[in-house]
Amino acid sequence: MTPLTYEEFADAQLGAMLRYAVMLCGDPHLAQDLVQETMVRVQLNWRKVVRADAPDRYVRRMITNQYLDWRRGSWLRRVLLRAEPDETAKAAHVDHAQLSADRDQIWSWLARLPKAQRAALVLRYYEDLPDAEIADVLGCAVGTVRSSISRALATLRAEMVETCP
Amino acid sequence: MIEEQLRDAFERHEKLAPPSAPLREAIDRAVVRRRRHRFGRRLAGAALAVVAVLSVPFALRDTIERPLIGEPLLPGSAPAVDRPLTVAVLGVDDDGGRSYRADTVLLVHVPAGGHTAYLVSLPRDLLVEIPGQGRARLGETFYFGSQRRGQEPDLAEGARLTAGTITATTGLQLDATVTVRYSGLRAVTDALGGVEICIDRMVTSRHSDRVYPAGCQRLDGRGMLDLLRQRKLPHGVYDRDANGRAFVRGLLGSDVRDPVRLARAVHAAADGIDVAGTGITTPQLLRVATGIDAARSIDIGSTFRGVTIDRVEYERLDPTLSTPVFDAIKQNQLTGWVAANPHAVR
Repeated sequence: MTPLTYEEFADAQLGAMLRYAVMLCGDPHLAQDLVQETMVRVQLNWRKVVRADAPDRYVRRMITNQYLDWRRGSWLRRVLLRAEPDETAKAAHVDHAQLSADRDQIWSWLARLPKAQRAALVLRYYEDLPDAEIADVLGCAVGTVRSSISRALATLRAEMVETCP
Repeated sequence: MIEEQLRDAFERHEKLAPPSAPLREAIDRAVVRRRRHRFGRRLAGAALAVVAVLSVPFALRDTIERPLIGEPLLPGSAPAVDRPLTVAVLGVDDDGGRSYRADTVLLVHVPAGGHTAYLVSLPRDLLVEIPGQGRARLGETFYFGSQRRGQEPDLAEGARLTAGTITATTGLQLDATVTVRYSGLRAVTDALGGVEICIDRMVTSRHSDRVYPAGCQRLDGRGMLDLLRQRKLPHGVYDRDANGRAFVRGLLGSDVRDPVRLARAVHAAADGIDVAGTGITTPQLLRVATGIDAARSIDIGSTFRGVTIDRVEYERLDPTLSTPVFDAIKQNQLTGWVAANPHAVR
């Protein structure tokens, strides 16, 4: 069997990675930067990536780590240094405006959660991964995954009670 | 129920995801930039070359009207050479002009009065003893020889030390060394209007996005350089050396009848290529080359016999394959040996 090439992987997975990153960041620009930065490293170290049992999970872990590592300074810099706005950004902008008009509250509450909790939620409710795999992606124990998720859900519930009593 | 709302929220926002095609291109561009940065000017691989030295006079042979070319390169009335010739062609890359190492070491043997050049590649990571200086990789020898503290590298000295080391390793006396820099390889290919190269298996460039399919294709200097630099191949540098030999065969097959183009090729060759001989002059060498009408590769090193000493990896030759070839060259019996061992030659 021929080993998976980077090109095949990108063909199959890039869209999914972008969606995953959007769920993590909540913002298309940041998501794009996050995926780009990660995929550059994926391509440069492809041989290592392809040796992983599940390359797609391995790459999700890279994206997640990158996301968790982003400090304010570093992503601010990335945003400011972005090249000319492309069509992607414009298209996304429209959607964004529309969406904020909808006042999607859950989405805005998500933004206030600690990053690791948000990542755990995304992995369970968007990626539909079992807890063991979530733990693998986040690099923590299964128990930690469960407690993060329950804490995050508690926070969201509290917000909800507050807004719509 | 909060779970359901979460799922819905995620799903609704899927459309925020930017399209992947432009991102894909951005990633590839960033990779190229970073690789370039990573490797700096240390171009891996290649300069294989032989190139011009063999090809240019080769082309001259077919030309009735000889173009005006620089005096020193004209084989003209050089005295005939009636003995076998062994020439080491060193393809060197330059690290921004600060240091040079030989990435390609190709022995070219022309039996006495022969019309066929036999090409033998020595691995660049071959474990060698530099006479009087100790253990090294063959390719580094050039660096040790050429490096001058606080001064420009001395390529002639690098070639001399490499030649001495090749002699000590293989027992072969070298009549000349030909040092080819990248610029030489590229310029000659371009001057010839591209060269057709036939490769055995597909090569995907790690430096550009190009894919070179198996089979024959005509490449310009830039493409050729890119192809010949690739060494992340199934058999690593062995495959790269094989591609280099394919390039030499392609050069020899180049049909150059346009005198202007030919003159350009000759000048390109003169710029990027240095020839140093012991007891043989450049015009003589060219005269021998002019008589050559075929090039064949002899494979002595496609088995991996790596060894690690002090955490440095080296290659070794398989003496059962290499010794008979070296002996045949020494005894000027290579033609007979090849006839008896057709499988080792292509």
